[in-house]
Amino acid sequence: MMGVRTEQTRSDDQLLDAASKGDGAAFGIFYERHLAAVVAYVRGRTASAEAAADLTAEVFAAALLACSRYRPGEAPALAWLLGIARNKLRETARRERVSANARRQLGLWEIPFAEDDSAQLEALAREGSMVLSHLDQLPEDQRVAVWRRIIEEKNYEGLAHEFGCSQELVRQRVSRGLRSLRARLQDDT
Amino acid sequence: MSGYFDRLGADLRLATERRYGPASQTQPRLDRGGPRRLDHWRLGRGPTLGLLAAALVGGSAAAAVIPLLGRSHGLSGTVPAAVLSAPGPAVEPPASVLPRRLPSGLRYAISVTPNLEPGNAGWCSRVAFLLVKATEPLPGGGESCSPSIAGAPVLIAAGEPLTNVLNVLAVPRPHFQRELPDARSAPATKGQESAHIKALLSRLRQDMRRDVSLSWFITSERVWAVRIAGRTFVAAAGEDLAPGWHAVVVFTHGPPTPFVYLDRRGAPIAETTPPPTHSISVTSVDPRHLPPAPCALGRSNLPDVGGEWEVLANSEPSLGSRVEANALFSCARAWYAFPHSHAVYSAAILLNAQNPARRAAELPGLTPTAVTGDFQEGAATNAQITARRVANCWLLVQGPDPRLRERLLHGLSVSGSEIGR
Repeated sequence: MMGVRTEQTRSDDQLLDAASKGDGAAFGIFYERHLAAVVAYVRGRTASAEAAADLTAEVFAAALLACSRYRPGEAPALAWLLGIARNKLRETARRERVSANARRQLGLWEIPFAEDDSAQLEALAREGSMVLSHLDQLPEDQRVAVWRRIIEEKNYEGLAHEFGCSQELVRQRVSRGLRSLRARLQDDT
Repeated sequence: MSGYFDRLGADLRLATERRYGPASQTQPRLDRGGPRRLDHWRLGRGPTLGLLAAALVGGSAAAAVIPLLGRSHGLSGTVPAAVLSAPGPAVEPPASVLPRRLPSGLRYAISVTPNLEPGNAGWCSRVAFLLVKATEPLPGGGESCSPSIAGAPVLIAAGEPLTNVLNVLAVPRPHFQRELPDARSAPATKGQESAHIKALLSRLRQDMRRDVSLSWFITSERVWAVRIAGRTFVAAAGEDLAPGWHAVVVFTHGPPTPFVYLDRRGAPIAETTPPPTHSISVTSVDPRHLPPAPCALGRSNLPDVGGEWEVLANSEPSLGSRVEANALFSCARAWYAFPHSHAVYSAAILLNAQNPARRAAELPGLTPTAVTGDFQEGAATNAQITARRVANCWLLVQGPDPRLRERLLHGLSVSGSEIGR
């Protein structure tokens, strides 16, 4: 069973930096730390457990390909990862199949999905839902602002128009939401 | 290492070291040892013209290109036996380890549909491969899309290495296993079954050549034939194509370069600079909260069908004579999930791209269904489309099961400022 937190001392930003220098163990820790959240995110948006597993693999492969370009910022790395997941979900819907582009680039074999894996996936999804619930616990204005800006990658101008307020106020909501989210996630790990 | 996610974690750790570790400094980043699906080439209008230019001035690649048969094939059919057993030129890795044959009875089906991506007016073409007696296509297959450009000689030029099928077969999923050759003698237990499949795949690998490709060109009336590596293939009309369209379908070793489009006199059609593409910006929305838009689909009225999300074009097209007369503009697209179904279904609204107020042109290759006013693609094409006219537009549903498509088609309504204008 995954979820054994083997090393809690390094931050996500440090892990991704180490991974981009060839530290496989670092990426492994990053994977274990966020696997449940990614599974929970994609499971609720895919029709089957197998598709969710396939998509999860593609999300982490894409994250590995992109980790050398990752720059620590205000948003936690989990938000970056969920942004990748969202893009992969959209790509899947467009192409009507789960892409294997990232896995192909990495030379990863497709992993057979067995019946036993379904139970593990559902357990991970339940665990991950609790992580994602941190986002739900933010005040409504911050939650929506963080989601639309960080996960959906909307620009501030569009969000200001959508919310009927100034760009500055949207930035403030996103910033506060992210600070709060980062603190909650750090408490968890 | 037992479960899916344990193995994934281990694979990712190794992949990190391969990609970013010290060894990666001296090796190509692509791991050549792993299984991979060769990318199909997408010869959209721009790249096509680029290749055409290369063909006219160069030709050094010609040595590796051998059309396997001297005539064009249909848009659907069985991969010919001559292709399955044809010897090919030596390529890397050494020919001695290359597969030589494809699985017998492999079928292909090429479809041409409007580009359903919102904000675009153009065409997409896809090939699906099917094993003997299978009703469901194998996953994968190449797709290529190009914008509609008035007066252009070629709508789509695309190709797909047939060996991509092999990688699909390498995934041990039950419904593929049933379709594999010799499946009737498949053992009962899981372990035996796995070994059996492994043996079958090993045999297929030995039998299949890596460089055999299916290539196809969908052309306008301006193109009489396509010359590939010195051989001329006459373009033919087909019932799955729009009036005035023609197709050339060929099997080759490697990509079909060099190639030249020929007019009715047999003269090469001169290269032209493609005009800028004309896509319109789009917005992703929650189907439950639709903003005002030129077109929108929203949620279905089927209680068991969930709307995932929707993408809307931000404005109506005003493309006029820049696009073909039969061009369709995708104004909105939404995705839906049926319970207990792995498949993704989507619906799209298509407008007349030249002038949205006018009635949308006919969809190529559609035939009436048993339901009055509904149409679906020809049985052989595998475009997986059912559609009906609504006011001035087409409402179209794409997905694998025709019965679910029909249900969804009648469970949706369209709205927007451009509908019924």
